[in-house]
Amino acid sequence: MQAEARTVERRPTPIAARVMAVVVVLVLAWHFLATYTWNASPNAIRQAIGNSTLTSYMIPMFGQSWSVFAPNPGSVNPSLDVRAIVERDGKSQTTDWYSLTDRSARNDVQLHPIPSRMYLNDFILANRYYASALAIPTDVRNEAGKTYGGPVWPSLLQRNMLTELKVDSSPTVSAFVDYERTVLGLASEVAVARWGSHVKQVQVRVLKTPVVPFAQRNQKVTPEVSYFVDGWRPVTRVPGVDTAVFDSMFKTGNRS
Amino acid sequence: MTALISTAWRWVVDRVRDGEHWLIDSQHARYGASVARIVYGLVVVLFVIANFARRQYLWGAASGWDRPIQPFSVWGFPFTFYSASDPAWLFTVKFLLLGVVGIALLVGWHTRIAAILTLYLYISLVSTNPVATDQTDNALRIILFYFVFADMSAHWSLDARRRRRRAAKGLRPLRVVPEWFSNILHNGAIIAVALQIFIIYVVAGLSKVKGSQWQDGTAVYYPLHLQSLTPWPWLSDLASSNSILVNVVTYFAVFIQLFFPFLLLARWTRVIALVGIVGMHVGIGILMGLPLFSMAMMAADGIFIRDATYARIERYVGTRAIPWLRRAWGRRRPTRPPERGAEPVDAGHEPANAAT
Repeated sequence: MQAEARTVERRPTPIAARVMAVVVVLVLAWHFLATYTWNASPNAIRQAIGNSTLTSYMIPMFGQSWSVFAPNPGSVNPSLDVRAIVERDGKSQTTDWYSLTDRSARNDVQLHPIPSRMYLNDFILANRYYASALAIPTDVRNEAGKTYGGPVWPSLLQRNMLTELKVDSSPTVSAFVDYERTVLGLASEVAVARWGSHVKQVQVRVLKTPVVPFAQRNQKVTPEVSYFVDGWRPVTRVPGVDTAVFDSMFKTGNRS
Repeated sequence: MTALISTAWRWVVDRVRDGEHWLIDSQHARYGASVARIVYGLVVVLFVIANFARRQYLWGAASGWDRPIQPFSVWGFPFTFYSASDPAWLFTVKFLLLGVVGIALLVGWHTRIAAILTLYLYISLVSTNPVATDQTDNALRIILFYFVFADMSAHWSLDARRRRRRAAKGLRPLRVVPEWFSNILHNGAIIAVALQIFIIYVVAGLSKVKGSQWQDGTAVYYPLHLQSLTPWPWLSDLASSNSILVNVVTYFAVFIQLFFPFLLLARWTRVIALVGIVGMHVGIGILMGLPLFSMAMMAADGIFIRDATYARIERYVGTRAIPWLRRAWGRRRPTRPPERGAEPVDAGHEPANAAT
């Protein structure tokens, strides 16, 4: 970081420059005290600054989290799967499970030197949806495994979960229902694109398959899969969505 | 005792003078800032190209499925330029606009405006989809924000060429603020980039230290077996097949990050730090399919290479490599003298302006 060999004549430094230099140094000192504290574990400095002061300074512009692949790197492959009940000629048929994440890995990650953000989208959605479900106590979570119908199914599901929890509102339940609506909207568009307009109901699940531990990598190990299986839901179309995009990505035979 | 105090005081005064001189009198890492400009421009252009086929699904007219989780976003007005409600064609135009400002940044055309627009459009775009954002976005946003205060156009830019042409015509440089003003901002920005880089690497290294898989030296095996991070599954298998290699790479990744700031202190260890960190980023970029993240970090690391080194590279390319390439290419065109000399202030190398 050496100065370029430019002609610098030593002139007396203007007082304004000195003042500005001090201000810049002070700003930097504060900014990096805040940045360091933000990145460190909760500590006395954070308390001294005040958690809300620190948050309002850092978020959104300087929001950051650098504990990447730490303390241990992620070692679970999520799979976001969808299947549907299709009614044709009075007969209803259940399709096979279709994995959105497998499709992303196959068509958008593999053989791509610069993968698109598809390397994140369905994977992160699967992980967050799964986490939001697991945040709910098991017996209440079982409510999600039931079949729901009708256009207002999200509010019905939410109300039933709150009733079982015996509370008026719960951020955990709201977050789960928000992810549920997101995933069902996406799954419904995919199902219609893939299996046609005769799709009557859709179901989603998340499978989490751990990577075989390093020590056992050369053995035949069947990893223990964790899962969350949602109940059947009515087709929940996303208003105003460009269906041509879903057709091109998910229609059987289209390989994009 | 008083002698000791006065010696100490003089020492402090001298150091403050040095600091003032460093901050006020000239700009540091001018080549590094220009390299960062080029790399960030390139990152944005490659981002647009790589995501073009999936733009509607991720952020555009087919992305309305993420509306229920939109309220979780910490971004709001004015970063609302992109919307799932835009018709597909309009979204495409807006999406390509990011690529256009990225090109402007790359070539250094009205650099500061291009950098601000790049920041604005990039933040607006990636904040639209809460499940498609990664550390690239944090690195690019925060570091490019600091660089906006620096002069990123000093070298290898259209802005620099325009200034050279003005100078060649005998015109005075356009200057609205005194030189010390832009110097302090520039140097402050360079310090900010350096401190941010230190925090990133040290936090990333420190947070790994307590992980059991980093301790037993197997950690890098795991991401190499995640579907989302394996563009070349056979290469990942190959890279993680030898346990000694896995151990070495794992420990190397921890130590190079943890010790990065300290390795910069001496010249020969600085070379180790920079070669090591570039090696790590190249590995991540190729094996895990995260080249844009790697580039966003390496762009900032470039400020730790001295201007003198860059100048020597520039001189070598200008006087040796380019003429050599010209000769190797064949003699279809008459060989012109090297376009660029050692110093970028070689005003008037353009024949049209040389006349004045």
